[in-house]
Amino acid sequence: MNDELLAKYESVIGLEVHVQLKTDTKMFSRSRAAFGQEPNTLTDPVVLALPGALPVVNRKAVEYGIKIALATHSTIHEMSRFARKHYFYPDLPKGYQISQYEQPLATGGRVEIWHEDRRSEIALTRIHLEEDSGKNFHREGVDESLVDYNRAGVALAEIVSEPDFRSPEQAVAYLRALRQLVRYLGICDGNMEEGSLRCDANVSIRPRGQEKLGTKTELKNLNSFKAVKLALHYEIERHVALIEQGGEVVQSTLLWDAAAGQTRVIRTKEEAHDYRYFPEPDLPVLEVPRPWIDEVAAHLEELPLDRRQRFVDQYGLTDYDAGVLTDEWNLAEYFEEVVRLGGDPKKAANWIQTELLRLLKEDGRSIDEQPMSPKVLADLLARMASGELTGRNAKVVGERMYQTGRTVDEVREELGIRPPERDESVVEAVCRQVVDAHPDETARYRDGNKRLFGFFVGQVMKQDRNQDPKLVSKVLKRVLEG
Amino acid sequence: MDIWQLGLASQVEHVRTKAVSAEDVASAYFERIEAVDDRIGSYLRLDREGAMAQARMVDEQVRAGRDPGPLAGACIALKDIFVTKGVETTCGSKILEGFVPPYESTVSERLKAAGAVILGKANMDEFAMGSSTEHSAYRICRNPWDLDRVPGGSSGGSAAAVAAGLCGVAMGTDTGGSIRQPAALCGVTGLRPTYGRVSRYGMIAFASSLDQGGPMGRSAEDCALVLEAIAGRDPADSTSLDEPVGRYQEACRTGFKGMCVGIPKEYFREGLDPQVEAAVRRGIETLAANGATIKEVSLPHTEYAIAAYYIISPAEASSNLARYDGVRYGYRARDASDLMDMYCRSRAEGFGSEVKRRIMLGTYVLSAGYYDAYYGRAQKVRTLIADDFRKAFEDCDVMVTPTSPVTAFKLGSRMSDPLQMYLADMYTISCNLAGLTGMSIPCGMDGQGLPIGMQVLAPALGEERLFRVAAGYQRLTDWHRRWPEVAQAQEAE
Amino acid sequence: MRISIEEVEHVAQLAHLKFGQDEIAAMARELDAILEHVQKLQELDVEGVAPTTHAVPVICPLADDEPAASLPRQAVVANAPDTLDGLVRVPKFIDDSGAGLT
Repeated sequence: MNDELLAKYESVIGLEVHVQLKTDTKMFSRSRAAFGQEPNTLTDPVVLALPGALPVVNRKAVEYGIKIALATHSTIHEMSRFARKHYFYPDLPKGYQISQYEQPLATGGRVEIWHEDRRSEIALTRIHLEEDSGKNFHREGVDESLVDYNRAGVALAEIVSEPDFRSPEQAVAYLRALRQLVRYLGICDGNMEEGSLRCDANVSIRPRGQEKLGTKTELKNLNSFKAVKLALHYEIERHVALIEQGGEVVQSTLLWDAAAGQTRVIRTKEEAHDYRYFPEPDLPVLEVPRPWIDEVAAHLEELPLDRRQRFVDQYGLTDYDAGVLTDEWNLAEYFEEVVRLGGDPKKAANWIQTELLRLLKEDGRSIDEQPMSPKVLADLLARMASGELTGRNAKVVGERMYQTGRTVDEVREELGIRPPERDESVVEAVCRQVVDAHPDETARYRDGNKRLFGFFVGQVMKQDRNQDPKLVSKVLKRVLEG
Repeated sequence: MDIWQLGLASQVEHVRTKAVSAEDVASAYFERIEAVDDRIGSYLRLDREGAMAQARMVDEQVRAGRDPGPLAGACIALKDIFVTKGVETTCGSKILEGFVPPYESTVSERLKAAGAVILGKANMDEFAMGSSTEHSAYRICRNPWDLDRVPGGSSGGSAAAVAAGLCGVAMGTDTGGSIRQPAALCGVTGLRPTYGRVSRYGMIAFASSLDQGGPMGRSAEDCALVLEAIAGRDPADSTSLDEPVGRYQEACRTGFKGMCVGIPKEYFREGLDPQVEAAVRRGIETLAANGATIKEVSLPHTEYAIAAYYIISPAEASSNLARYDGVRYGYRARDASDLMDMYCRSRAEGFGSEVKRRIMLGTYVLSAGYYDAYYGRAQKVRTLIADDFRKAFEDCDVMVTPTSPVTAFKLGSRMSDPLQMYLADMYTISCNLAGLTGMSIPCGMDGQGLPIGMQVLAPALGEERLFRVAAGYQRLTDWHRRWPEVAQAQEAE
Repeated sequence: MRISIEEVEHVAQLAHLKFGQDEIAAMARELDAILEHVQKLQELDVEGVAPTTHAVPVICPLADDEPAASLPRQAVVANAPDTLDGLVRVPKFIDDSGAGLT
């Protein structure tokens, strides 16, 4: 579709994000919550909705909800309520999901995002607690489906944004910021592939300048950043095409088919579920008293943007470098650990960005999936600073450390890299040898062509790469001028 | 006198003092059940093996000089709404046929921990929906006083078992009167505790905000003994009350002298059988003649209780029964063409007509566009009803009313008109809506020899007041000591 | 009539129940009678009255996040009408729940 046509319209996007909370047990029972276990081994009467079973709220899940609310400057309600949301599905054991409806845990709030080098704020509608469903498996060519209830009842926080996004990219930036936030808070591992962070979007378009919102459609199954971006672009273009052809958008729910690269309608407004919400009679009012909120606030983890600013203030990093290092909580932790163990902040920042992140990117690994500990990196930086390792050698040694997790000394031995020569008489011998071998250049230098000094350093280093360039300069100067 | 004719406290005392073994008590009951229950149908299932094993354990403890618990050897008929680990639990429904729970209800666990012996699972209306036990999917349950009549419901099996001497005490549940009404119709004593007093964990839900389990026995004292053992906070039930358990047995001995008994005038109007009214009024006179003050009170919103109840309870039921879908347990229709067909047919074939009616009603009142007019409004009316009681209880300690407007009716006589059946709950429903506690005690017989029940109501956690009045009354009368003819049959043979 | 045959059919669909034609008509009559009765509530002025959601108001207790034993998989399989390799088997359906929740 041509850009001119697209430019006539403004898109209006809102996101609903399900955050799987990293609690040890489920939202409403003490059945263990874990990923990747044998099917149907993490259940109990509550999870399976056996007759007579009753829900009991997980305190930690509420605490995690409070954390998100605090981190997004939401208003936490001291009284909130659980409600039943009804629909039949094999992976929904009770025939209803316990969620929050009219009185959610928190409302309002905002998430600060960086997008196209601009800082903006996305308003949140609400944050509420609920439970996850189990998982259905469909096998190709077989007229049956299989259900695993391990995930059923896992604690979720749903974060609903206002329709504040004007482009798919901005929506993705928000989703990234949210992912970063929940990982910083330590309440979710943010793994979209495993489904611990899931995203639905609603989107509409309107001619630029028009106040009134267009008819929206809801997109489901957006389980990667890429899917969010592609699906939204696809859907926006579909809306534009419909309207340009004189048609209209039908309010409906669509599924993103990543393989086909298109959205497909799963139900229209007429077929929409009638959830028959009503207050959950099995759970009294959820009380979150002020002192509890204050307690959680007092121990709240440092937030990404705060940490970024601190890195600038405390370590003298540029805002850009601080941004890179704080992007992932794990990386920021790694950096600070290296500094704590004696690494020079700027050198550490430089090394991590130019060497470590390059290697990680090449391998598609995360900082936790490589064996070089902050301790050995701090050691490497210290040896560079003392001149014990040349920059070039440090790079070679560092890469090997990254691959093997070995210490500086182990790698140096393995690669036969000796420490630089410390004995000045030995260095002097090499220098004299070079000077003697280049009588012309020596003469020109001594006549005043000081620029040739670099040539001599190069020649000396060529004899033995393990020499310390600083020591070589010092001795060479003496030999040439003496 | 045979052991089964003794009161529960006395039976327990016999077991604890080795006068009789728990095993002998249980055997005696099983013999009686064998001989009599064919004609009554109070049990759906017996757990002879489990009961005898438990009885032997109690006896061993007695022999070893250890405390066998306050309910040592007490033989219990457990309404089939309480799940029992390893023992089929159906809630009176085909949809749960063959369901063997892998866990135990808190109530039955506490009963066993107190030394009680669970004889079997008592008959009931399917999912506790009904007032006659005619909605049991398995067998007819008859009133021991007249085998052509209903025992009431939904805890009809429990009431009939107590009335016929087929258990020491029974456990029932009461959502709109399901303990008190069958207790009245069978001439036994039935207590509905305050909502949250007894754990609902493992008690199959009908209407979660109204359901409450409680004892049904031959006397207020027997009920007090059981309630002390099962009441109290349960971490598995978020609505269970974290309040100290009362001294119910002691309250039974205190008597009602000096108490003020309120008589709600709205409970003595049209629809009330004159014989029932006369018996209840005589009961009130007995209280007045023995030291109670009588005072007329008013509950102006009484006429709205049934309407509110028949919105709230089906709404919650429609939700609670969504889990019976043929997927994880229970009945599944054969040869379904697809998932939707499997769902709809499993539920259509698995549920009985009354249950389906309530699911339909509940689904309707919660569906889009109707919530405010029905469920929302009913919950507000519920507040008005609760306020009525709050005000009335400022002027009295307890209230006394009829339990049921009529005595036991003929089997089949009310099946064709659901609304008429619902109206039978008119005196019991408000207690559930307002979160009160209530008890039904026998207070007379009608001209056909059918028992009449008198209801005593108290504010939330006022169980001790109920026991003071009921036990005091039972010391002055003998209505609760009578046995129907069928109970004597074993000896006649 | 307070409820039409079509509405009864719609509600049956919502409730995942199935009725024959006769049953639908009978159900409509019965529901109608009950709805007629509960209409009584409309007489009352409930303006400003707070709804009662719990019989005895209490605060929601919260449990510590400490795992208890799971049911053995056999317990899941034993009661399920149809299973395969420890999974619960159901007739195939169009899965439109996307990420797992509707």
